[in-house]
Amino acid sequence: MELKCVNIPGTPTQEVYICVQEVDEYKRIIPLYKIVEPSKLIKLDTLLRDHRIKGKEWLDVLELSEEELLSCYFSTPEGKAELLFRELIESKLIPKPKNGYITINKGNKTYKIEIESLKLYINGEERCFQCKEDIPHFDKLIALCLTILHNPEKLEVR
Amino acid sequence: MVRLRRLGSGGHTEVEIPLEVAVSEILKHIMTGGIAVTQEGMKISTENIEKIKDSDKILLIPKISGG
Repeated sequence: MELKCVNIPGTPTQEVYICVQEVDEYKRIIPLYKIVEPSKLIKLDTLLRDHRIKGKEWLDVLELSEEELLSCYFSTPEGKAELLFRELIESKLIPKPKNGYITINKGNKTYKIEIESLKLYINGEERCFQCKEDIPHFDKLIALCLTILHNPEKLEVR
Repeated sequence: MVRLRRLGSGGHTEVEIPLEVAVSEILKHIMTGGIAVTQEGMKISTENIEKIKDSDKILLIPKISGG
């Protein structure tokens, strides 16, 4: 599990803390800024900027173990969506990820989805899609995979 | 009773509802462009909706469209 400070896309001045964990051929991104109290994040930020934290000491500052952090994450809408994603892979309704991608062969087309960015490639060409509902990342991924599997014509360019 | 799990902006909602109510909810969902899938991976359409049984678990997926 690795701590990172990143910009939220579209808001260049807003830096937030996330943590990244490599799991089963994809990256789990835990939005610390959404699940940890702001006071603890401010303390963490100060200590990091002063180079007073090494290795995994950031977890001590947040007063959490890795297990507790994961449990907090899995109780959020983002985490619940990821749990459902894993459940659907387990029950073989969605193919297993490989190297950060999900690949689905349907008809004469190969659909490839980059899990981290949700970029969609059809036969190697990047394509757009939209989901009108503002849903968690993994819910969008599930919706995209199941649309490819059951209603691929919806992804045709309109 | 049918278990309906809906993916949505407020997180997942899961309800257990009688078969006839579930059928009507699923129809409403697929008529507005969403997808309904059983736990076995069968896509539900207006043609096979009568195959839904009591005790089925159904996943309601929001509409995705290409650009």
